[in-house]
Amino acid sequence: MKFSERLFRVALLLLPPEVRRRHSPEILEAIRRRMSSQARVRDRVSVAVREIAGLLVAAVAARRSDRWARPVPLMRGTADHPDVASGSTLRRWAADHLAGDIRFAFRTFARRPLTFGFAILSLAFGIGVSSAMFSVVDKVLFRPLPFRDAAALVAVYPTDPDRPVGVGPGSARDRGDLSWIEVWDLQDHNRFFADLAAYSYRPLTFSLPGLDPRQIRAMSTTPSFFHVLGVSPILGTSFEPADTVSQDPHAVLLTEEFWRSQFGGDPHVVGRRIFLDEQSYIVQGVMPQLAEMGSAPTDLWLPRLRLPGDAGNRNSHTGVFAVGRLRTGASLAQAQSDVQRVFKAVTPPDHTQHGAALYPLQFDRTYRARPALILLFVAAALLLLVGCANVALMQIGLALDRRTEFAIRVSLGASRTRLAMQLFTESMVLALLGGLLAVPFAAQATHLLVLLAPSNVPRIGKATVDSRVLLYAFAVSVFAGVGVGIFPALKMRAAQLRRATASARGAIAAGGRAQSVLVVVELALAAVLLIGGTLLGRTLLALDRVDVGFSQAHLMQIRLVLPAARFSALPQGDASAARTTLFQQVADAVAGIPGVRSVAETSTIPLGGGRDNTDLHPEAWQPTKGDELIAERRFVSTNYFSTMGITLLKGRDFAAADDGAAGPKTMIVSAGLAHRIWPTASALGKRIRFADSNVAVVVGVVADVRDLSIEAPTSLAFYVPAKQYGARISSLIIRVSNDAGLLIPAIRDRIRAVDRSIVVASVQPFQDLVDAQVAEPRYRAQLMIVFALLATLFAGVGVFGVTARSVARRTREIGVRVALGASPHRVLGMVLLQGVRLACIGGIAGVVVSLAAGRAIRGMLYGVQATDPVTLLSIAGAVCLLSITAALPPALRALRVTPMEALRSD
Amino acid sequence: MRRRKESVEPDALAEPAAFLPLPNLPYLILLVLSEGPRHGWGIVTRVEAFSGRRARPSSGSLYLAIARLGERGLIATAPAALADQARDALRTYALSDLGRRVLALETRRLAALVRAANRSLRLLPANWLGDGRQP
Repeated sequence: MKFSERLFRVALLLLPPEVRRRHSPEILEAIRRRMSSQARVRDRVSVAVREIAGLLVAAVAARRSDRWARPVPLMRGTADHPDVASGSTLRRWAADHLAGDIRFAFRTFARRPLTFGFAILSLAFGIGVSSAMFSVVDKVLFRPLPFRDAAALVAVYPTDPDRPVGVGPGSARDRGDLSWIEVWDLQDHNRFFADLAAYSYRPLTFSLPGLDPRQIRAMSTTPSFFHVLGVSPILGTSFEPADTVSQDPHAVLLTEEFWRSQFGGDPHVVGRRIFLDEQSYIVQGVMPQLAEMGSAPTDLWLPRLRLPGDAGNRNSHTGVFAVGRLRTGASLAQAQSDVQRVFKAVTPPDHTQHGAALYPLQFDRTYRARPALILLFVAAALLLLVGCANVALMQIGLALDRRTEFAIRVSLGASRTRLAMQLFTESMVLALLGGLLAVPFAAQATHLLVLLAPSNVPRIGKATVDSRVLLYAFAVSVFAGVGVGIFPALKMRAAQLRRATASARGAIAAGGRAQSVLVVVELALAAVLLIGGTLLGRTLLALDRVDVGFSQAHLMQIRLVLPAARFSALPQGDASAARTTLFQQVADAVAGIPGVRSVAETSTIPLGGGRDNTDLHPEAWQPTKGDELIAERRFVSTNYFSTMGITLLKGRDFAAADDGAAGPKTMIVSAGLAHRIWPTASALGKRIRFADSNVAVVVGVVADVRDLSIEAPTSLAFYVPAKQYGARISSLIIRVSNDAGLLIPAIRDRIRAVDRSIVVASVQPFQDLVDAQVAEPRYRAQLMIVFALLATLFAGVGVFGVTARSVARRTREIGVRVALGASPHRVLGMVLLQGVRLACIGGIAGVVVSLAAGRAIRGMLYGVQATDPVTLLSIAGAVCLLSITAALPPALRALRVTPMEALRSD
Repeated sequence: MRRRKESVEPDALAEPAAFLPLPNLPYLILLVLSEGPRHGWGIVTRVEAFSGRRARPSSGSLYLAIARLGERGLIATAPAALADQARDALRTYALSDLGRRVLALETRRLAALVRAANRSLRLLPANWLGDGRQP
């Protein structure tokens, strides 16, 4: 009952405010009592429908002036009261006939509950889905960011000098990051920013006295960060914007969510002491969440101060991102060239990044989600169009059926305009009812869209059905009403009525062309959506089938943070040894868990989002011009390949002997790297210098692994034994025999038993990482396929309706043909041919539109082309098949027409 | 019976004949209230009884008519003695003097119509209106 309750509340909004304010509770109460007095659900629904209709009629009646004082015209719309008099036809019509026409529309609906029920439902569905998509698109892409004067905020990215600058959204994924010193350069020397701030992610361990430490996501920011955005604290004070000594470097700002979850929303949290990476910090304030500023939720902010003598490393691009506020009157282009100038003037010649690209912050925060959301929004709009075309078809058909009725009324003196207005009113009421029904539906659909959305779509959680969405739904309903109503209304004015009284023969010609056009449009749109859905679906399948190079089933990753303070006191070598020992203890403890088959160690988890690359210098190898060799570097334990299930192609695996720091340095390279350096010769035995001074001998070649992302090509990689270099390793890969997820608590317990201060940053089955990679394509594909199937259903119903009507109207003709000896095949062919012809045109039109629109979807495809001929042709074929299937039942009915029946038909 | 003065006073001087002819629904509501004050739901059920199950008016049009009658001072709201949250749903309505006069005038007009119809049709018994039964 909640659903109908909401519906009534929406319908109540139509009443004039003075009535609504005074009587809403009474009306709702009355409706409630009336409904509850009905025992059967069917009766209750019928009461609900009638009450809503009553509210609509009352809403219209209420808008008219005082009708009591004037006598009601006895004959409406007849020659006595010609309403086509002059100028204000519409107003006179509204005054005299609107309520009557609306009532008439409801009576018409009541006579054909199934047909109109379907029409209203399909409109409600179309409007609801489209409104839900609008609410998502509006919130994610178009609402200004919740910062002061957000339009003046700009994101600053450095660019490679070799690449063109600011080539637009397409190159967006290549945005680089800055170093702190570059940020300071920009702060000092720019001329077009009122202020500039920067931020950088920094994972930290967080602990309160008496509690186990855990990993959190912190952001280091220049103290001016909140000042630039124009965000004020909820509690306490913000960082001191002026970059001076007055800001305590050991102060932190909590985000609201962190404050609530970790401190229970304690109002006295300001001034409390917390421990981050075992160092003491003081809570300075609580800030709102700022979900717009990062891909994942932030827990707290630390100030990144520029202390005297803090030279920093200009080339250390450690994920620092800058955001600036333009001076009033400064343009993006001015700021852009100014930033270029600063980089050129200040940076030393050995510096690699010279250019900069500026994007409006709003765009920067939303560009990733933009293409897919726009695509889905358009798809939903197309679905709505198909629904509208369907209802328009139905309306034309019904108008044709009622020609006799209309003709009689015209001959009794009703004007054609009057009848056209009546039909138009009918469509309008239909659409508005659909729109009304769409509102609760849109709320559910929005909820679902938010629920299913991949986690990295910014601020999608805020999407709800608000006043803007309601306005959109209303506008779309009106648009749909006009679109649906205009065809039958125009037909009515086209003055072929007189002939219609004599025979139904004219009917086919009259409605034929408009119907054909609508059917073709419907089928073409359905084809477009089907093609889009198929392409995205095939992308998903291709992604699922990607060979990542290792076997991800029964594989888990564990990321650890070892207590840093314990090692920092020790001398370099001892610290390294102590770390290794502690880590080995953890590995042994995990290996002892029943169900764990093997445990390997690595510096970088595949698909974990991290990367570590370095330049390589193979001995006796000359790089081709200007092309340095960079490869991913992995420090691993000796059993890494067997645990991961990476195939050894040539040479040997690491052995225990490789672990000795004293022995000869060895490495294993990926097949891609081996081929890149020595396309013809064997890589085994070759020596490679990497990271400036280390030289190692290649002892093996392993298969390529996609460890950055599933979609990206396999990376060139080389592996070196961690123990040879005493490398800091922090991740474990374990292969388990059964369901990976079940072991997580045991793993956490064992690690905690080794040392309570070790932080388990994450424990995850690899399948989760892979799933996260395809979350976005999956969302796109699912929605698109749902839209496409709905559109197909609508189009099928449309074809069925048109064919059925045409058969019914041609009963006599068919009967005569049968009487004259036409074979059943001919009759069947005649009826089907009509549908097939339209289907072919529709299918071809759909393919052509899809080819033209291929650009829009190209960036979202993997393993399939937007112009994939198999997809295009099979969908075109499927559309034809669909339309034959939909036309078949009425065609079979035509077969059963007997000459006798035909004679009786008119 | 207490009345809300401010809502009635401006129309107290209004000419009852100006409201004629009264549409069916407002007429029925006035008729129901002439039996005594009722709250909204009471009007709904009584009007239903008058108009029969098939032609019963929707809650929307009923309350619209109630609102319009109230605005014109034909009916008045009696303040309810109930607790606040229940008051809105159970507001009590009563006929005003103006309403009573309009009801009488309209009834007289209808009666004249019926008499005229009777005279010309001679279908109905002469005391049809007098015996108090519903048609």
